[in-house]
Amino acid sequence: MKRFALIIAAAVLSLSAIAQDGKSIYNKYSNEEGVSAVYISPAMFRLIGKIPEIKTEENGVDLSPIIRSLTGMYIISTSNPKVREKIHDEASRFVKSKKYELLMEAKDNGEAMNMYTIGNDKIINGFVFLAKDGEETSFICFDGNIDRKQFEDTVSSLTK
Amino acid sequence: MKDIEKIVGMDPGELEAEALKAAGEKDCTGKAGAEGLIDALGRAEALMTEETETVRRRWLAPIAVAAGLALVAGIGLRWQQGAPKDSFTDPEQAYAQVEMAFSKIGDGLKRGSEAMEKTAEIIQKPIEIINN
Repeated sequence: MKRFALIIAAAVLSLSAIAQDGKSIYNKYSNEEGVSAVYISPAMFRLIGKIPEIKTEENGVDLSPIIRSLTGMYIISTSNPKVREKIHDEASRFVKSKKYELLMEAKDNGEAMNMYTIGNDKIINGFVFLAKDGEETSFICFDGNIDRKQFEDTVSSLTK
Repeated sequence: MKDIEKIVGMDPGELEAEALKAAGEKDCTGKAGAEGLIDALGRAEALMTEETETVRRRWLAPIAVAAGLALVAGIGLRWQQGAPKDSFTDPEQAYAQVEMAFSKIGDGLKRGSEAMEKTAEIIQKPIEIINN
């Protein structure tokens, strides 16, 4: 019986190794037709962090503290109907399997936007933004060690 | 002595008869007879347990192999995926993209807040009617 439990554990481990994450979704769909994909590596984030002053053009919000704490970012957006639903489903499965916490959900006239985070009360280790906006689906996923309060303050400043 | 397949195929009555027969080969009377019978039954039970264990092992082996292969395939797939290539070599271009991403997140949040405000207004109306 012990051996059987070990076999099951090994099988579960192997399945979790195949399981989806931001990188695997990016790798799978970044070369599809009609998909625009951006990957920013930890090394690039270190370089960006060296730029002395980083402020958004629109409302002058300082993104530098957040940017310095990021370690990787995957952005996918597409209006290709063949992959839109697939990306949305896989991203939804990914946040569910990795036990991301739903930060916000908004639905309006068939459009849907969801934000998820993973981490604890003080630190965000992962963030996922998933939006179905008319004919476009967007998936933004980033990892890092982001101060939760700082992140929430910055993002809410962006809405003003 | 009977082989394992035959013993496994026997019903309890046949098994008992066989055990009695085996005991009879030695001494079937008195205390020695009873001990012989217990001994023969014990041996038959041991053989059956051994056979059940063999059958279980026979099933367990392919499951273990399949799980092992799945594990190797999973690790292999993960390794093969590797890290994607940076989309930009210029940090300012990369930053512009990050800014766009945050602006999108901000827009989403704005829409969410507006929807919440709308809901709050809808909830507020009946409260006002009740209060007045």
